[in-house]
This record gives sequence, structure tokens and C-alpha cells, in this order.
Amino acid sequence: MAILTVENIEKSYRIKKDKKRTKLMAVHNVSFEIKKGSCVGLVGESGCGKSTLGRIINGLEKADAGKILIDGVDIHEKSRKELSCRVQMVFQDSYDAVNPRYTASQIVEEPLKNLTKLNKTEREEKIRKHLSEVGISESEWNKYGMEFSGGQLQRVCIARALAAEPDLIVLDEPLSSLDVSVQAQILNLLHDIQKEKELTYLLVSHDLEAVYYLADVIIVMYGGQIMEKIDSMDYFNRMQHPYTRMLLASVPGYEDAGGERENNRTIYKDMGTQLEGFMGCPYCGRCRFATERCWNERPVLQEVEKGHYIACHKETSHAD
Amino acid sequence: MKMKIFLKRLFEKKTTCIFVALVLVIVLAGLLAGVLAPYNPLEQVLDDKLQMASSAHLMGTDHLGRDMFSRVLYAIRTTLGFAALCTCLAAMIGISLGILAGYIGGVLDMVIMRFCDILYAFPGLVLVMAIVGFIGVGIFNVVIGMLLTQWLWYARVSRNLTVAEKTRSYISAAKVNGASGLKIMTGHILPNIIPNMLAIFTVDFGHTILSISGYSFLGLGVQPPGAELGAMINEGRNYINSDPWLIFWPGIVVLIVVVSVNIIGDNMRDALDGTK
Repeated sequence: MAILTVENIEKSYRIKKDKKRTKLMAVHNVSFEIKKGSCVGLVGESGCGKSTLGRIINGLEKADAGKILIDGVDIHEKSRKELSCRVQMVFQDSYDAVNPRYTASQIVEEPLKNLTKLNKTEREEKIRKHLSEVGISESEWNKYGMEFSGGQLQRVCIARALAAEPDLIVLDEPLSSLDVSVQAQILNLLHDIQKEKELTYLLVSHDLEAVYYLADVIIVMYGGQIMEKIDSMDYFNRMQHPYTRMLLASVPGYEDAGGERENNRTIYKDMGTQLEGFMGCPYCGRCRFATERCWNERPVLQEVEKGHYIACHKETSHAD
Repeated sequence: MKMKIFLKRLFEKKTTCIFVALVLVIVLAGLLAGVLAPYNPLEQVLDDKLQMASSAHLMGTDHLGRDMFSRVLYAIRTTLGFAALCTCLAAMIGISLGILAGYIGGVLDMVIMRFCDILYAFPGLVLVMAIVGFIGVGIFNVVIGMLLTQWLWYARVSRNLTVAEKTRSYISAAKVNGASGLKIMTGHILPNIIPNMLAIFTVDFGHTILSISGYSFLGLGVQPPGAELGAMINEGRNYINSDPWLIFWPGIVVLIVVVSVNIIGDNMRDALDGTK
């Protein structure tokens, strides 16, 4: 049963390039589903549209075209409060994501105040419950955001997301502002909470390792499009797309997996592959397998084996 | 920045403490004028006119035999009172419109900001003169004229601070947590820009005291026989050679208040500056 359905989402921003007005396709024709209780990892480098997609799902930004359905209902038919009770978000930089004038308990109280009809004592009970769930001890409840360490504050933010008792949490790069040692703790916390509360996650990240640990489904995005998608982690070692292989090769310990690591001295030229009017594959400017066809024809996501989808002319023409 | 840290950094400086104390003493003197003043400030005793300072008249008497000390106390009340009224109203109007423009953006932002630009193009003095010429002299009309030129400073600064604050993800988080636009503006943005606005408010308060005294000096504001610092200086002007204390006492009070308030404002700005 799909809790979230993303249908043909398009989002573009108006920009100026070479003194000409044009559109940057931040998200281009993206569709996928999230099953209840699963964790979908949305992977890609910065600027590939993954965070934009997360914000669209949360209703923070409006898509130009396409639909977001939650349990089959379009999010635009839901009020802000209804949506907030179903979908919550954990932000990238925890220090930026809390009001500097709020204490930990005030931070967690905000969704309770706005989204529920609980009275003060009931709210306090909930705050107590959620903060202890994420491992914030009682002595720290009255500390302000700035007085916490990054990891502790991210815990508070997770408690805030849990307070509304949502079904789906969008985790927008929840680890990228944390120390490596703390990342593992937060990852474990997220894992435990998911199992305990049967939550559904959309984990937006550029860190393949973290995604590998938490996700059941991986979606790789590049230039606003889905490049590769696997419905089961069994396919992880068989991910084929040249971009995915490059990503894998950049993870320490996986250097041999693809062997296609980009030379870190290569200067990546912006080929304008994400601009309006470009009809080829967005990755072709960096892809060493790029052919004439890649520059002129946009590859479509195709199933190469059950539950494994790739959008690449090189890979899918084998299957043909 | 958090208020507690801001205040702590502000009062770490000795100058802040000294000047805040000075301003407090003067404000208290004005507030308690009714209790402290030994004479009625309007009572004329022509036999005692132009007396030097003595135990009976601490600051002497003016050309109509009125007790200068009592008049200065009442003048502090008038000048600071109207300056406070003017700055508070200007700040309230300006900050509300600024946050609204910055938060909602789009057409509203453009309309409010262009309106500010138009008003900004008029020199304040000319605008006040025009209004006073139109609806008549009097301190309230001067306050109305000054309000018109002052709110836009608050509007501009608070608008820019709001735009900067709006991009931070705690505003997105508040939206996700179901906070309404009004709640975000009053509960999240306003408290976070207040320290910055306070610094502007303080400096502006000094300017307003000068302006109110200035307009009264020109005869546009408080009318005789009312006691007001600028008006008193104007009345004492004719006696500058023979009896200079007539302008000295009101002058020194204006000087102390304006200098103190400006230094406090400067220190506030320093306290806000995270780099120091």
C-alpha cells in the first residue's frame, strides 16, 4: 500500500544565463511511490533537485505540474494542518532549523500547540515522552538551541517531527551538518524510531553509506531526473547507471565497485543540460559513455530486471 | 540574537551602565515632576524675575519670575513624553509594515517600499512645516508630521531583517509545524529582530528629542506658557548675554539625554555585532 505517490512532478526556476532569461529544470518529470513502513533513500549531488522534491512533498513549495498524493488524496486538497499531521520534516542544519529564542521543550511544544487540541499538562506529558524517546535528558529541557551540540539539537528536531505523530517524515540531509561519530548515533536513532513506530521515511541525502544503512529503496537523481531506482537492497551491488557507479566509486571502500571515479582534478563544465529546451540526458556532459544519442534524446526510466529501473541509453539498449 | 546574551554584552561595558543611569535619573525626574517641583511651573512672580540660582530657586528664575527648576522638570516630562510617543508609534507602524512587506513579499512589498522611497525623498523638516502650515501649529500636529517621516526607517530596516530571517529553515519548520503566517510573524520573526530594532529605536529617540525641541524652538510645537525644553531655550534667547542660565539649564538637559541615548544606541549596535 503506497502511502505517498509522486506523479510527474515538474519544478523549474527562472534564472538568467548569458544575459538571457531561461528556466532551470530543478525537478523534471519525477514519479515514484513510497510504501508504508519503508524508507526511500533519495540520493544525488547538491543541486540535483532532491531537496526541492522534499520541500514539494511537504507543501513548502509548489510544483509547476504533477501531483503528490498521500493515501490517494492530493496534498492540495488537504489543509496545512492536516498535511502537517501526516508529513513532517527534519532539516539539514539543526541550528538554523530552530528559533534561537526557544528552549528544547518550547521547540517540541510548537507542533503540539498548533496541530493538536491538548491542554498544557497533556502537552507537557507529550514533550516529556518525545524528548526522552530521542535521548534528551530532563536537565537539558530548558536549554536554548545554541547551547546544544549539533547532534543533540538534531535529536530535539527529530523529537519535534515526532510530536505531531506523522506517518511520513522527510529527512532532508539530516546528517550532513554532523560529525561522523555523531552521524552514526543519529542514524541508529532514526532506525530504532522507525521500527518502533512503523514510520515511513524519505531520506534525502548525498551520502550513499547512510542511505545504504537505512533505506529499503534507493532512488538516484541527477539534474532533476531519476537516473536509477532499485526496489530492493539486493540490487545494490548491481546498480549500473554510469552516474551511480561514479557515486559508488567515490565512497571509500567501494573504489573498485565501479572503477569509474572522476578524476578529482577534472573541471566539470556546466553544459546547460539542466536548462529548458535541452532534450538529451542531463548526465551526458560528464558521462564517459555519452554518445550522439545521449545528447539528443532523453532516456526514459525502464525496468531492466524486476524492481530495478535505469534511465540510460547504454544500459537499456542492452536489454532491448 | 537572544535577548539575554544581548543584554549581558550590552551591560558589560561601563559606559552603558553610566549613561543608562543618567537617562533613568532624568526620566524619573520628569515622571516625578509633580512631586519634585517646588513651585507651579506656570506661576509668574514678576518681583522675582531673572534671579540667580539660590536655595529658594535652585536654577534661578526666568524673565517672568517662574521657577526654572520646576519648569525644567515639567519640560523634561513634555519633551521626553512626546518624543517617546512619537518614536513608539513610528516604531510600531514601521515594524508592522516592514515585517508584513518582508514576509508576504511580492506586490505588497513593492508598494510599501516604493511608498517609503517617495516619503524618503521629502526632507523631514519640509514635510513637518507643510503639515503644521496646513493643520495649524501645536505639538500634536508636529508629532503627526514627524510620524510620517519616521516610520519608514523602521519599515525599511525591519523589512530587510525579515527577508534575511525568512530564508532560515526554522521558518520552514514553523510552517511544517502548522504555524499560521501571523504566528510566524509575531512569534518567530518579531522576537528575533527586536534587539536590532531596539538599537535603531534608541538612536532615533535621541533624534526625536532634538527634533521636538527644535520645532518648539521655532515656535511650531509647544506654545507658551507651556514648559518644553526647546521652547524654553527660545524664550531665554533674548537674555543670552545678561542671564545665560535661562538657556543653559534646558540646553544641558537636552545635551545629556541625547548624548547618553546615542552612546547607549552605539553600544547596542556593538553588542549586536557578533564579530567582536
